Amino acid sequence: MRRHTHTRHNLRGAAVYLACAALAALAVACSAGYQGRVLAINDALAQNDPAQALLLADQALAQAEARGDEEDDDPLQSDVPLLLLERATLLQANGDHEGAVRDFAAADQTLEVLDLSASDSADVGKYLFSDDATLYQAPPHEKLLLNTLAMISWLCLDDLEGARVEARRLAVLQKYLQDAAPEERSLFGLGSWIAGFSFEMSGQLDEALNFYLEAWRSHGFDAAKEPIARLANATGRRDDDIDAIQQELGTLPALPDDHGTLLVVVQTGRAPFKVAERVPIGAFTTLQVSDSRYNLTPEERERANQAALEGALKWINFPALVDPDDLYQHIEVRLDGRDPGEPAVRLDVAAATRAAWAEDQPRLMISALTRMLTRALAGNVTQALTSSAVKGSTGNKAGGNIAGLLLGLAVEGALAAQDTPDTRSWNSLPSDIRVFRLSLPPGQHTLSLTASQPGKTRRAQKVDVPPGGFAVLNLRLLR
Amino acid sequence: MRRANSLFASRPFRFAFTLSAAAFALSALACGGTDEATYVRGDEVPGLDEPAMSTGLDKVDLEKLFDENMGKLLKSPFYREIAANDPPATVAIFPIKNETSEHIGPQMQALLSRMETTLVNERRVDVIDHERQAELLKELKLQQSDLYDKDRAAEVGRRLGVQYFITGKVYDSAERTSDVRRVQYFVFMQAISVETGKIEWQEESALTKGLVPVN
Repeated sequence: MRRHTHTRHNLRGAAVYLACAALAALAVACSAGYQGRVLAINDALAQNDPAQALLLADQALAQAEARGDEEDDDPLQSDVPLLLLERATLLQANGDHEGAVRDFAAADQTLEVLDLSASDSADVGKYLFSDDATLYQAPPHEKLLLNTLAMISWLCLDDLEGARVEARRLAVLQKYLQDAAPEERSLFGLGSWIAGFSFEMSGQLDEALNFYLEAWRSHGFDAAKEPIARLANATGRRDDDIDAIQQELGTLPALPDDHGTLLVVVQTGRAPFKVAERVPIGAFTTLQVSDSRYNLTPEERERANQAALEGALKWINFPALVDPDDLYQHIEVRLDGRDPGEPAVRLDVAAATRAAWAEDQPRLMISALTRMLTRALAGNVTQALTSSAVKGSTGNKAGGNIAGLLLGLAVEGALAAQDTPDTRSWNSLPSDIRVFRLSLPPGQHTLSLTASQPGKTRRAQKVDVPPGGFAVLNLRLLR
Repeated sequence: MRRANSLFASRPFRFAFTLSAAAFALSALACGGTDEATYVRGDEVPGLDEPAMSTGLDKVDLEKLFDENMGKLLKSPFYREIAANDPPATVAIFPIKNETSEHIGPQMQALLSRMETTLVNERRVDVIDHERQAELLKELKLQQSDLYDKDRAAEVGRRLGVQYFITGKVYDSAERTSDVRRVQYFVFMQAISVETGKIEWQEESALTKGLVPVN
């Protein structure tokens, strides 16, 4: 009799164990998210092997695109715009600018901007934990950089019309963001400056002046002042800002007619990207944000604290930004062996990425907690059902509670893990972009780039500067 | 065997098994199914050309622009006049300047090629082909974008031996909100006399493309 009871206990234990194991397997099956799907690409990037990364991006895209349009909730299908961005960046790094502009344009058609101001907590929670199955919505800095990097590739192709199209796309986006996310205006500078350059080289001076003024007003780039003053002289445009700049700069020396212009774009490293992390529940329960739509109700807060106290909710699977281990300590640029001076414009993309995340993170965390509480209820229901089922079959209340608790926690744990946070982000985005503008005698010049990591990477490239014309050189060091 | 049966028959096991099966089914759904896309020909799928798939220009848009512009050119007093010339007037088609926020250069090129084809097949004017333009631009060390400069275009026209060139510009008014994008295109076509620089014919057409939420 005792032996029989023992056997029944063993059977029940085995059943519960099997269920827990199955749910744990479910948790692992889908918890890798985007980062899991681009792991091999990231490894290749970390090993400074852009060719291999490109090959893997090709394969990932082919696999994702083969899914077809019917599966709207297919994570692989929803990866396509982001994978196009990754491949475009790698193609650009490899000097294949035709391929890069094709992919940038395709990604731009489908990528929307993530706008938390237009969404409530439930929407954001659904987006944040949809297992990457919704179409990727890029944070504003990524969308702005898409147009900016595309513009650089069009310039490298000597296709000013393409660069101007990209500049106009950027302007449409900036106009929208000025209303929807005015805090992002400080990011407009780099793209606006390059757009100004594109129109200036096209001889469309009024439009060029508008973009340079935007670069100066939004970011305060001093390097925008000289083209503003020169273009204002050429077009006769006047306003208070222009007058102040002209007064500050005084009479500008004439540029030699036979000189050409060299634009050098130096992109280094990789910006921080997202990974899934287990964040202790305590980090979520005390948060308050100014947007009242996101804050927990008193009942939700009480339930969260209770769940935390009882140990039922210990953590939430949440995205975290991590720095790749390839940050450069020092970058040295030399033109014909000489220091070309300070870059005309520079954007610390890594800092912009961190700032964008810091801005969004509290609202996303509260949305995550709200969603988790709802999910925890599902866990409690399972616990009640299982308790009842086991109790009915065994007549053992304690055994039923234990089995129910295990299954309830397993469901909760599995749902928490299956509720994969959206770890999608532009992984191959550079961490730093510097742009040098140089007026040079026509002919061949050599540009060298040395990056200390602390190990040194050096790259040199020759470029022909045409008399009275321009040349653009883009250099990317992954690590 | 009996022990195995009793294990599978036990309610906790059945419940756990059902839960596990549901979990794996959920997993399969979440991780994607197996349907795949297939390539098709336009005549295999009726209406394939109809849906707008981007805010760029597609075949339907180009046909609309072609019908509007070419139809009006062929009916214009200007065309009737040069079509009556003996010997026939010589015409070159120069690129359309893209001043929009969309990469529609190739589509505009396709529009011009269709117009060129129609003019050639009309046999009322002599049309200079694109290759000769490209050669001459290279010879003159000019770029295609120089053709947008009326003076330089006239110089190229003279060197090509043409009396008229047909060209144009396309502008847009593009706007977006968080979930709507709208691009309003305005296409201006012109026929310009190389000798006088005078605009002999001009037509304007417009169309709108957009991305709007379904629900």
